[in-house]
Amino acid sequence: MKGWSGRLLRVDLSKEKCIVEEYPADLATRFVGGRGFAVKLLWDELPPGTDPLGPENLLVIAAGPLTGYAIPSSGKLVVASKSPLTGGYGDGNVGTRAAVQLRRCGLDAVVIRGRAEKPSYLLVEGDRAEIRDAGDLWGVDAFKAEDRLLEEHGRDTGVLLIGPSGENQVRFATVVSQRGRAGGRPGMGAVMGSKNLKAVVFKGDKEPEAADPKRLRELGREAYRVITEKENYGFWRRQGTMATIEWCQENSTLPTYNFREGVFDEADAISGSTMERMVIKQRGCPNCNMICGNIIQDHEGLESELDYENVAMLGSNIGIGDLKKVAVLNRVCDELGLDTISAGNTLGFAIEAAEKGLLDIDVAWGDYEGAKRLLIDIAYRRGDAGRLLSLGVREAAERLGGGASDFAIHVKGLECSAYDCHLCPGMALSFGTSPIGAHHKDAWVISWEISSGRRAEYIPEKADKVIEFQRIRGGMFECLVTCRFPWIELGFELDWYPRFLEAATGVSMSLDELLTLGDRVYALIRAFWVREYGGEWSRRMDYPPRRWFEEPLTKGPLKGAHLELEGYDKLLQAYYDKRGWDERGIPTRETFRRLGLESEVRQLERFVELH
Amino acid sequence: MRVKVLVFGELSIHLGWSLDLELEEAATIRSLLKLLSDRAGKSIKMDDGVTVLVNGSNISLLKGLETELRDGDLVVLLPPLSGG
Repeated sequence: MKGWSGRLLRVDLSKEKCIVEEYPADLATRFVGGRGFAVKLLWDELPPGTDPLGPENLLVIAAGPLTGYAIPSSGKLVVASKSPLTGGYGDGNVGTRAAVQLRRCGLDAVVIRGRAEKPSYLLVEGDRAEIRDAGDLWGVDAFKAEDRLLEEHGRDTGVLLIGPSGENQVRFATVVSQRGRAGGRPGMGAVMGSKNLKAVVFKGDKEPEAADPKRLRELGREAYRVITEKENYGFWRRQGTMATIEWCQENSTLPTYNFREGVFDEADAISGSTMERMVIKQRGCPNCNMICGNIIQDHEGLESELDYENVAMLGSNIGIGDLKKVAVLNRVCDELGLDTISAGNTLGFAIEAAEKGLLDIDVAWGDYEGAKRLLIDIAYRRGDAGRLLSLGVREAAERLGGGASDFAIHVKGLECSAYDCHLCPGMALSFGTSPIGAHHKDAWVISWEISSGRRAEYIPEKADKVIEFQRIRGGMFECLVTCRFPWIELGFELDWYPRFLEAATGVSMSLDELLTLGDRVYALIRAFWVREYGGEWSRRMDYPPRRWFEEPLTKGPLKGAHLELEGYDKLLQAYYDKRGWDERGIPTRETFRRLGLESEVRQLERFVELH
Repeated sequence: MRVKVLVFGELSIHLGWSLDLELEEAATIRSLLKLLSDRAGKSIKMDDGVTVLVNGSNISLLKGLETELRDGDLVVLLPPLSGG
């Protein structure tokens, strides 16, 4: 095999065993890598009903056949497991040197099961792996712990690690790297914590062998040049994703006061333009010339790397209109290893619950000090509120009662990311059908939807667009594992990717086959959810929060706007029809067959009848 | 009449963030975009995915490019954003 290494590392922390094995060739040809590998491995090897925080859960770290080469934005990997937050399939994507170093170890993936007897970390050096004592790293924040590991093993090693919130198994703790890169929103960090695994360190020495290395290098050089010449490159380098703050404000989609409103009075103070005046540094992932990490000095004088999602969720969503203070909250989340999106969403939920007299905490809208205190309580699961909120909003709301579920803004248990959808049914569908729960990564259709001028309509084209984006963003890019930003932000053409793939692997896959891969992966992820939820699965799992239907906006130019349930029903049905899924949102037998998943899903019929 | 134009994204590099413009009485979005295109030195077209809002409403919900402008209107030009 070329491009793919053909090897993965299996680690059993309970038995203290590490073995490199060759995986079957058809894993690569059918699932390519990254998310594809992750869902296939989890489907085959994880017994349904496994406790996500128990030793039998599997943590999968997976790169793809393009990861690590000198081509645009290839320094990314996927972390996946059964989610302790949602109970379904969970994954995330991290831009990190660890992606490059994993591949330089001659590996494409790592599968970790069991639980170490005491705090440990995994050191992977070439084809050897060793479980090491992490006693003096446990309890240390993610920035300091990584510094220590880099000091010990070398500054160019790749590290994936957890902060104290992962150690404490906060349900939305993530896997982090390089001071602010993070992934695995649905609690992949908690899974690591439950395994007593503080970190995974990768240190390799040989680039994966490509089928046509000369052609791959040429393509890479040309691609980097093409990217810098794209019209939007200059502006992108100025604000990165933060330009979205002003855009959302103008379109009434900026999450404000726990997604109650879509406009925020102090949006200017947390905008990309404001940030531009404060940027002191920029940082990017390995092999990337998009450099989307904009760093400012926060209210405590420390560096904080800002992105749209962090700032909206920890800013407008909780009423804080001061970018330097939002930056502190962002950095604290990064140090503690907490997902910033779920953290901001959970804080919004908490403040609203307190306002309604359901939760006894002293935190109000715009209360920076209170928010910071509560974040830290959540990370350490301290106090009644800290412990409750560390479970995520769905569970917290159920335990609180009193109608709290009405303002728990999530889908499938994963807190919504930063797009208020009172008048964006397409984006609401996107949240509803994202494979890990509410997340914008897979089908960010909101810009297309609003530019079209038909944002208030429930037309089947919106379902088509969601699927189109899911195939590209959540399918192809998550399996190659390279970043989608050059394409989606600058218009870097998709047909580069089959060319990269052929040069790397010698295998010719058309763009259409790479997008069909997306369909295959989505169907298998859906099968995973259905197998876990069994009789409790229903199409209601694919619905966005009730708030967007029943509590119209009260501010701004879209005052009075809300989603229509009948309209959403139709959109969802159009989505299912297009995908070949039945009215319950389960792929039909014919769809599984068409996607080559017949053997995988044979056992699914023990859990649910297929149509 | 006077209108205020806010420009976001890449166009702001050519036009600046905020413009206060004096326009002829019968100005429409079409004539405004022509004026801005000339100023920016590049054509600003709807099919590039630029969103135009007048007082918060997308022009497709008004009269599209023929939407008439009135004294004191706020026009916002937004790029087709994709990030996050």
